[in-house]
Amino acid sequence: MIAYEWVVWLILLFPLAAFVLIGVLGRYLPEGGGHVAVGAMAGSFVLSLYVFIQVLQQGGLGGAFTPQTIEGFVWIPSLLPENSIKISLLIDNLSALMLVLVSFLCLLIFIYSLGYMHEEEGKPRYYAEVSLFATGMLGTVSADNFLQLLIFWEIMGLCSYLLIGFWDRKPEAAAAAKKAFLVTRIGDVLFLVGVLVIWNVFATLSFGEIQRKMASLYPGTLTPQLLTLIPLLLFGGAVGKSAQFPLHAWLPDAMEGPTTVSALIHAATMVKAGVYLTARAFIFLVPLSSAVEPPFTAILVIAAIGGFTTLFAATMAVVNFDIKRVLAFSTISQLAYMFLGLGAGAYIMATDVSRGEAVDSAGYSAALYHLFNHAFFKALLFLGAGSVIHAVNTNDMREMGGLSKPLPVTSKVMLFGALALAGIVPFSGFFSKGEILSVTFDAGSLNSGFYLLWALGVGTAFLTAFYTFRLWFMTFRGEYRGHQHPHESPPVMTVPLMILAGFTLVSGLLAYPMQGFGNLVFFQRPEAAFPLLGVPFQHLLLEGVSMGVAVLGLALAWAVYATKRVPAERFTASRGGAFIHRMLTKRYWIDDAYDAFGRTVVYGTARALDWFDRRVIDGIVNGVGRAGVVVATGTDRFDRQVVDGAVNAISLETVRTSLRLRQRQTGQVQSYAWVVVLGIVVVIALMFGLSFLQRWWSGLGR
Amino acid sequence: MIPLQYELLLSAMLLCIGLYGVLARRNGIIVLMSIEIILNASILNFVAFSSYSGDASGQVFALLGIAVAAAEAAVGLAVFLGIYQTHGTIELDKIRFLKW
Amino acid sequence: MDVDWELIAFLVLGAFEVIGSILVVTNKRMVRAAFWLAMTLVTIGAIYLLFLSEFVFLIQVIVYAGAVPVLFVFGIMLTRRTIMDEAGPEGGP
Repeated sequence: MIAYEWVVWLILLFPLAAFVLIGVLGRYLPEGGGHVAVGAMAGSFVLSLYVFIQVLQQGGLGGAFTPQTIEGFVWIPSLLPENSIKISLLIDNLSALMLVLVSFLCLLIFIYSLGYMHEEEGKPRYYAEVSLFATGMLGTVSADNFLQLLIFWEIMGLCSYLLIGFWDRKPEAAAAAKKAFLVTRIGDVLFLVGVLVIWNVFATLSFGEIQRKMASLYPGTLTPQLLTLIPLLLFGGAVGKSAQFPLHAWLPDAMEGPTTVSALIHAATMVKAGVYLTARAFIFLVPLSSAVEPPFTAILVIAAIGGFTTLFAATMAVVNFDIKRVLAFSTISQLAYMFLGLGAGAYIMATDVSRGEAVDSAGYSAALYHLFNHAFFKALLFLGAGSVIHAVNTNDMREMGGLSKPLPVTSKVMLFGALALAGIVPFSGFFSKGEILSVTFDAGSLNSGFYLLWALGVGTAFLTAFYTFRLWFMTFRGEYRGHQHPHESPPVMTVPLMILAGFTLVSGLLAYPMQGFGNLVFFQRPEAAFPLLGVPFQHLLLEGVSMGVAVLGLALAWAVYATKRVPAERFTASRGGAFIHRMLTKRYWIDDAYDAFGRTVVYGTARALDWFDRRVIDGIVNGVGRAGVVVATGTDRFDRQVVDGAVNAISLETVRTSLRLRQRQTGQVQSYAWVVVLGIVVVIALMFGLSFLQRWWSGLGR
Repeated sequence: MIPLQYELLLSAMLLCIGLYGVLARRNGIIVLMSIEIILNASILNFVAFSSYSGDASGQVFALLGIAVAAAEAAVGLAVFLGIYQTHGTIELDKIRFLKW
Repeated sequence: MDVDWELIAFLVLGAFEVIGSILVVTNKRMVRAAFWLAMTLVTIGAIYLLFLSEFVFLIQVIVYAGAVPVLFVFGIMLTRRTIMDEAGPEGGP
């Protein structure tokens, strides 16, 4: 049990309060509220560490820490109390570790931002948005149920959109922000559908409840097909967020944002959320009940996408000249390693469960071990790249070179990061990458497809070392090819770099004092596996292979880019080489294909609908309108010619008659008198005539 | 006793003379005088028929007619005086303001 | 021979009336016309006497011998610059 469990809420509330405070008062604060953001993040970090230490004392080192739900409040009430959706926090080993990791990296990046963003406009906006970003990630990793996770997940999506488009005057930044938002949206929709399916099946969204209900619902309500579908839908969200194939296109373009934002997205938040979600999806992948048949298809899909993406992204990193994009492709590749590890681990665990054997969670812990290490060295590499960019004002590595002299600190910490990323012993990348490859190789004995994925992983290890040192040599060795006067960054930037550089060394070795990394993120039971120690010879051999190819890659990069003994042109000289180079530069034409898809299918559909709308619907409407006009014209003609004609004819005749009669009105009294007299005469004549006629008739009758 | 035919003939002759005056003369005063003659012709008829039928109601009508005729003459003269003052003439062919 | 004096009186008076009224409507001098009118009307009153209607005769004399001719003379006086002149084209000035 955690003492003073309410402090966990404060971990979330600190950055949220910073967001509100900076958002409202940011422009009156010094540094645009940067110090407030750093202070809030420091508070979050201290509290996270407090929680993490308690978890370690009770669970990590020997004992069993029960996942603890910190009850919040009922958000959406239901008739059945257990079905109502609550806002609660879940603290288990995984979320406690993630809280510490996220808050620590966010803290370092915020401190670095104080120096990096010092001369920028719109600092209050920047600090408010990164604070909200940190809130989103902390909320994501501490959520108790899928709906709450989805909410914080979407907050992160929003913040990534805002921050990638931070320089909103630049059209590329705006386009990149839009692209990131739209591409991740595809994944988010899948995730949302998955959450709805889960609700439909389990009538609850809480992780613990789902795990409890799993065995009782299978295979009635929860059919095997649904059990396969749910983790795949959740993985769809993870693919969008973590930029895996085929939704990887947004991440390289996301480099348009400030470098600190790139570091935030790549190291601590956002892309890691996808891995975290897949780790949470283990409650579906590995049901922990022999009655339930695990969804092997879904596991294989996850592992295959991971294995494919890792090589796919690494190849594109090899030819890129933008220092940040190389790192971006490397992030995609490294995240794919994690998915590969999760997939392979889940396969082994699911097999163990279905056979009723003891569960071996090595893959799960290896993937999260890599996540942990990657967070440090990728943050280091991005912040180092930011320091370089800060010094030379360009992203293009062709305009760098020989920077180790003016930037001594940066070049050394970047070397640490590069060694860690390449996987050279004893830096952190070596341990976790080797673990993942070992687990994948082990899974090969269960399903031979994993041997192929292992081969892809080893190839990637070679390419990783190559492009990492290509980056380092092109940036820091040789002659300076730019026109600026580079200078070292201020201490507020270099100190976080040095701290991170220390962690690239320490974080890999951290597994030893913890008696195996699995103790930190154990799934179901503690995992006391040490890297390199006490493992079968086969594993040592596998680690040696991955290390060996990394050294090979390093050596090749050295030969090509440092000593220029092997000119780079040689690779593109042949026809096939040139084609491959072109294909990689164009990113396998996938972005073009998406654009073409958008242009032809989406625009085509839109144009077809437009045509339908204009021709058919408008035609009908216009036809009705025209018919109305025709009827109206007829009515109008009838009205004008018949009705008005009659009226006008009557009035015209009246006028004409009166004009004629008017001439009889002479104004002469005596002419009127004449008329009177004539009238009298006529009356008299009539009287006489009538009486005469009467008499004549009567005479005739007689 | 005077034969009724004679009396009616006299009355008719006076009527015709009066009509001639009304229609032929241009002077408004003369026209008024002619109208008096016509009225007296009709009053003569009333009196004559009253006498012949031995009924006194004819004389009542005659008195009424005399009164009306006198009043009408007075009003007519007043109208012509007004016209004379505004238009400077009472020649009927020059008075055209009855026209629209 | 039995002479009907009433008839003779009627015929004489009738002749006076006809001649008087003709003079009224044809006379150029309006004051004379007015006096001829008075004469005619009083003769008509005499015919009333022949018809044994004394009251009507009395009223006729009072009205047509006294009031109406004076009224007409005043009218003529007020619509003429001089009293006894000839009328204009047909009588007017």
